[in-house]
Amino acid sequence: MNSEKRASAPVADSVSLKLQVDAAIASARLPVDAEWRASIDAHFEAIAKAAALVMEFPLEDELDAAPVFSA
Amino acid sequence: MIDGSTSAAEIAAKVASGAVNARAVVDATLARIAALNPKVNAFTDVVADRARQTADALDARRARGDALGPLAGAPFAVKNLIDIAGLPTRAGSKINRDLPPARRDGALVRRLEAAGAILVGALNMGEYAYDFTGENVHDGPSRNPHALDHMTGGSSGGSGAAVAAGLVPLALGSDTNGSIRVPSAFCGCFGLKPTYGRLSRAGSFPFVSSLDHLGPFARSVADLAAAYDAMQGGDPDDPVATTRAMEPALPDIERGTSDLRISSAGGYFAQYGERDCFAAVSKVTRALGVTRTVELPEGGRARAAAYVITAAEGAALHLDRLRQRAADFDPAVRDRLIAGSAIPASWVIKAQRFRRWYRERLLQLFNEVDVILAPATPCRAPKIGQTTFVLDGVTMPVRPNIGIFTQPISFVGLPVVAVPVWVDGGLPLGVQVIAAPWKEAHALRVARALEQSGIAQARVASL
Repeated sequence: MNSEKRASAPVADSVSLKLQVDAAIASARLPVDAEWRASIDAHFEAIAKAAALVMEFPLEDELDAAPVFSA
Repeated sequence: MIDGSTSAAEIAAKVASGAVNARAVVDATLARIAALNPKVNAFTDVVADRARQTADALDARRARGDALGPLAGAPFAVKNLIDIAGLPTRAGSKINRDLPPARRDGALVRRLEAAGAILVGALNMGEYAYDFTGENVHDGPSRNPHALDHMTGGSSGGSGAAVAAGLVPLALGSDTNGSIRVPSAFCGCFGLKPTYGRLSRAGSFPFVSSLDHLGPFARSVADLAAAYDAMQGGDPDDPVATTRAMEPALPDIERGTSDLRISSAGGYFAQYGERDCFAAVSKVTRALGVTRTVELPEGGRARAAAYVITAAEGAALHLDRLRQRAADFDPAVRDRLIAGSAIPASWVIKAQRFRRWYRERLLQLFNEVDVILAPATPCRAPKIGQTTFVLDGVTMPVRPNIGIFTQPISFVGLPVVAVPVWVDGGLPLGVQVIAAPWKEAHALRVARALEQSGIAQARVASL
């Protein structure tokens, strides 16, 4: 089935992104010093912006990632 | 006479003819490292005893009349994420120093030594290869031999510095998002990132398996090709290593470029950089008579997808270490890895699927052209410690943005030779010579033509 349409992939607001980081830190039981958080959150925001560019790009449902990648 | 500018090919010819013995080459190399490494901080380990023993064995073989390999007596060093028997593979980290020593050399070390080259040590790098600067909080920054207060580029910074300083004619590095091409550009040497899967990664500490490559640095295209040829061949110990037959490149490098369709990259690859970077590309295109420009579609999105995959796979690899020894990481690396641990699977899977889409578009382009030229970096080597730069009027953080032109290429595993270009009296710049998958020989032929015409040149720094 062809679903090639412009997907909606809004960049989450910074509060939501921080909650996502909170959940990841808690579930992985990572020992994070409070002083590191601003830097971690800034990095995650940059990743989320990059991901939004990817997520908004329409791809056919049938387009699999090649399991063996040899360029 | 062997000095810092002597090529591996010249050394091999002299050793083979008996004009010089391998032990003398090694002793001269060790003396040069002892004298100059304190300035450039390229080496983290020097395996002097091993190198002398290897040299003595080589000289004994020659005395017996045995055939010597094509790199006989040529000293080389490897980024310290590649295993060296007897040393812990630190991969630029503090944490890995507690690992037991490697029991065996990495696959590429074994192959270079089988060709007669002599390992002399391990090279500085950014922690766990998550780096474009060549800085390292544990070992200190590697320093650009052409301007010691400037970055070498990363993460294979020690590899670029060792070759540009004339400490060794050959070095190995790794390239996940640009870590061979960036230090080649900043330090002014030739670097080859082969096709993904072409050279075995067995016996090296990984970073992002989807994108990791190993490859050589050299001061001449012939040395680059000779080292590449010596390292080719499948390897069951690396699950992505190709089963293709070896395709030696060295015999072809003098063939010229008249039968190659060469184009420069427009669009994304012609913006977001300092003017001099594009001047370097123009110098190359003029020399080659290139008039055509092609657009690699969605270059920015490809870079974004590589960024997401890198952060996610890197975080997954290091999760236990983050849990157990977070305080022992370089803070700049640690914070990015922790951020990467929060990436949802849907982002990574979409990025991998986009990679397939992008690869198919690029393969279509290679129906029309054989080689594409693009800048290697958006700037010359920044100063060590510099955290921001201005590209196209926008202030950006240095560390993640040095690789904006390299990431979209390694993302789909294309082979690239980074060639050093000097546009004025300042620091060098790099141009990526990009070929179709498995066509390293095309990129090496173009690089050799540029070297022969003097447009691309790897200079030994005056130190």
